Amino acid sequence: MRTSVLLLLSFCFLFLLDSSCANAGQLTVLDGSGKPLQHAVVELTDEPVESAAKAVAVMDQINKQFVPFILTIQKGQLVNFPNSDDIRHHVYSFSAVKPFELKLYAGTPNQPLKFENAGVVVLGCNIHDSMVGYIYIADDKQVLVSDANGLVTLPNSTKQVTVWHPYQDNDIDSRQTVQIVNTTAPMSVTIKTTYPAPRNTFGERFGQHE
Amino acid sequence: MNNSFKHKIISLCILLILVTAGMSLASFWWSTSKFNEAQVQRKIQVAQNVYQQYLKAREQLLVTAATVLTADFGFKQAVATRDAQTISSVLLNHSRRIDADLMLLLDVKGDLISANREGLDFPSDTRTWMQALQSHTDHSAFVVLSEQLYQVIILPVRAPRTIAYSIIGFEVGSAVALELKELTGMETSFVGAADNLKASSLTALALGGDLFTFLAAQKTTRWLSQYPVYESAEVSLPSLASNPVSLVLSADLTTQYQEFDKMVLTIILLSLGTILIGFITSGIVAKNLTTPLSKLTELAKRFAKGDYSAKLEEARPTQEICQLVDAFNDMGEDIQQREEQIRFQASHDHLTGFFNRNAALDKLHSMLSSGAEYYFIAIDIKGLRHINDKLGPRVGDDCIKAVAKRIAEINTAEGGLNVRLGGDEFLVAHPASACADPQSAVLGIVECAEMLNQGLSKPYTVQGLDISLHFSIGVVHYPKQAHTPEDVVRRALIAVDTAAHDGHDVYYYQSGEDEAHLERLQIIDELKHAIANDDGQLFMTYQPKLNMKTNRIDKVESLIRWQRKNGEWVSPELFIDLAEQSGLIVELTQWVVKTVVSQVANWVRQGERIKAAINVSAQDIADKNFLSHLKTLLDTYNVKPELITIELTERDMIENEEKGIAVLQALKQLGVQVSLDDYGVGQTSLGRLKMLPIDELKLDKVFILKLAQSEKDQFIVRSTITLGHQLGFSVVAEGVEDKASLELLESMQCDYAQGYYLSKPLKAADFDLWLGRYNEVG
Repeated sequence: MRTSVLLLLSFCFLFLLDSSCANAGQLTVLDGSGKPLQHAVVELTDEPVESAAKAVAVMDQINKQFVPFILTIQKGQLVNFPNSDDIRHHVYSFSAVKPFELKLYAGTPNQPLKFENAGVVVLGCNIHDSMVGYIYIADDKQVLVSDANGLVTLPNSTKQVTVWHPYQDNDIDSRQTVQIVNTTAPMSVTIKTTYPAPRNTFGERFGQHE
Repeated sequence: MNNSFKHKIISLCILLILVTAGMSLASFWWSTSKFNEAQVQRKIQVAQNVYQQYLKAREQLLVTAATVLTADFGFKQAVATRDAQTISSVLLNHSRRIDADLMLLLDVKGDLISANREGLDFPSDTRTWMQALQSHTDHSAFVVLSEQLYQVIILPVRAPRTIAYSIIGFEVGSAVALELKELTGMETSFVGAADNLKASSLTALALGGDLFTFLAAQKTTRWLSQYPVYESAEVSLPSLASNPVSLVLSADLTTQYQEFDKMVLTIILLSLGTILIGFITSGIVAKNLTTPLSKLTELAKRFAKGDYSAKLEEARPTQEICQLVDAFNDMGEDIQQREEQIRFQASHDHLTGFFNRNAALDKLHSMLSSGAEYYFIAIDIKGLRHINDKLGPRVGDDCIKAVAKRIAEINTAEGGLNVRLGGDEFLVAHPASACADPQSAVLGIVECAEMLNQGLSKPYTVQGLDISLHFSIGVVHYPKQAHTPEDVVRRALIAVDTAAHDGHDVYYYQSGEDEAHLERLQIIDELKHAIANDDGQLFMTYQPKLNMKTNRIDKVESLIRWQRKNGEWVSPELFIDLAEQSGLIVELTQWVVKTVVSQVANWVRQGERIKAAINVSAQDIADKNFLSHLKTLLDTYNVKPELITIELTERDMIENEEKGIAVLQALKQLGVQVSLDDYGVGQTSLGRLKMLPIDELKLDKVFILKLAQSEKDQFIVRSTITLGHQLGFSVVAEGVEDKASLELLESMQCDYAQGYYLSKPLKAADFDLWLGRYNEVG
């Protein structure tokens, strides 16, 4: 409790510092309990990006985790799924935007996958149930991801943003739209979330009684 | 039942067994009941554990099955694609694979996606229902769907996010209940809300019925009361709050009851057996105890009757009984011995070992009845009293013993009998045939008695003293002289008394002596009564004495007379002699003295001064009361002592001379005159005469009766008178029967004359008349 109060105070202090800098707006994403929400994807709907330079993005698998947890790309961008572990993975997606299946493999698959449509793709590994990753495919708009403090820095020109988070209570494909009135003023947006319970393993279930 | 020892032992034994059996039965009942209760509780506890394990196993099966299903990639893919057909077939396929009765798929909002069976009656709000189930995530829960009980588990389908929920369940029906019953050994029932039976191993009960009412209704009758058949425990199962489900475990107590009852019955039978054995053994023990006791009682009764030969034989005696029997037998012997001793002492004289008088009479009865002839010899030791007095009673006793020994030595004749009659008297029975024995044929009884006397008279050595004893012997012949034992003894004693009295060594009883003896005894008896009653049988007569100087009658001799009631006269010589022999003389003399003194007093009152002489015996003089009695009478009747003269014969005066002289002097001192009676025929020497303190000499009548005719008598009388006068005595002549004698006496200056010439002895009244006439004539 005491820690959170201190954090809040430090945010306010930062905000005071930032308000003196007038060229960018700060948006804080909070969860339902008012805590800063990391990994929130903020899409700037009125800030298009040039589709020219669309490099191949990488969704790595390190230590039985997708890295990064959330990969943001633009539609039509290619994503490579290298396997950095010394074990095989079976990456799949049942998401309507891009269902796919990369059957048991090690190293880097031959072809990177191209994500044509904007939307959210939930990644899983058929072998390792605990592996969950997300690819947010922006509709050729600039996207930002909140840091550990739930902060994203918006350009001054921003008028409207959509906010999405993997643990949001709303449908996984829905986004919360936020109108930016004044970028100079500090802003915040609240996303109601439910954190997933730690997943029980098969062994745990059989080891326990009662 | 009586109060006997035997019954007491048996009763006690049976009572003890009954108490023991009762207490053991009660304690068994109590502890077994407790144990059974605990057993039931333990059984229920075990059953609970078992059912939990059972349900857990099923749950694990469910969990495994569900987990495998939800993790299946194909299933996930099918669910993700929301392909209804595929999902349905998958559910059906998997339900078959794991043999699950229920398999549902719900989306994250709780809406049913698919089910493996159709027509299920779901709760209206499936979302809430699902959420309730979700609180049981990872654990099974019991739910009721379409009136059917299921054990279900809910698991999310993740791809990789939760995209749906899968509910998998097993039907819980009678088969499960029966299986649980197999495992737990108890009736198992599942009860839903409102005691609604869902499944049960109790097949008798219809589903949907009220289990608890049914259980409560099950009763069995034993020990005359109702006992419940089932004991139940209800356990809540994990279920939804809206529809709770519980498990009821019911232990069937019937078997327990049966086992318990069997054991109780066994105990009762054992107790009955023990009682029977106890009855028999205590009976045997009691018999072993009481049989000797009753035998001892019998023995004691026989002892009481004097049968000491009785012995007690005991077949199988115990040590104590043996001791008791021995003690009894010893007691019998001791009593017998002592009785013999007592009987011997009762029949024998302790000093000599001879029969005593009583025993001798019994013995004589049997001896005399045999018809044999006997001489009975009574032996009396002379002068034993002197030995006792001078040498002490121990010497006397030893003398008796020595004499008895001598008698036993001498009287060895067969059929003889030795008796100590008492004191110094023995009785010896001598068969008459022994006296006529060929060897001693020459000897008659006289020789026998003589031999006996000679044998006994040999000197004795007693306590170092040589003692010479003399004997009186009296002999009686049976049956000539006596017919009964009593007669034999009495007549033998009469004979021995006669021998002693008359100075014979041996005296043979003469027939008739006993009768005379008895006559004398009767006279003594009558005399005693006559004195005591003073009824006129005895009276005094007075014979006047003439004072020859004054020619007046101033003196009389008092003489006693006795006329028995039948008018018969008894000679004074006879009854005075008997009185002396029997010691009655003292009483008789007292009566005489009293009578005479009172008569003298009468005369004094009449104005006559007449002296009276009273005859007394040696025994009277020896009586220490004589003097005081006389003095008392003189004082009482106010009679001057000089009016009384005491007459004593020579013989009486000689006996116990010293004491006699002292008494005479005392009499003289008193003033009474003393006269020596019958002088001249006795043994009084002149020397003794000189010493006697007397006042008067009375010449015996033998010198006077024929005085006139006998010149010798005249010499004796004259010289005696002169002698008397010379010694200072007055002289009286008695037996004066004629005038010539009187005149001679007068010429001889005799002082007094007495005799029939003057008067016979007269009664007092007659004497007064006679005296009156005499004085008139004179």
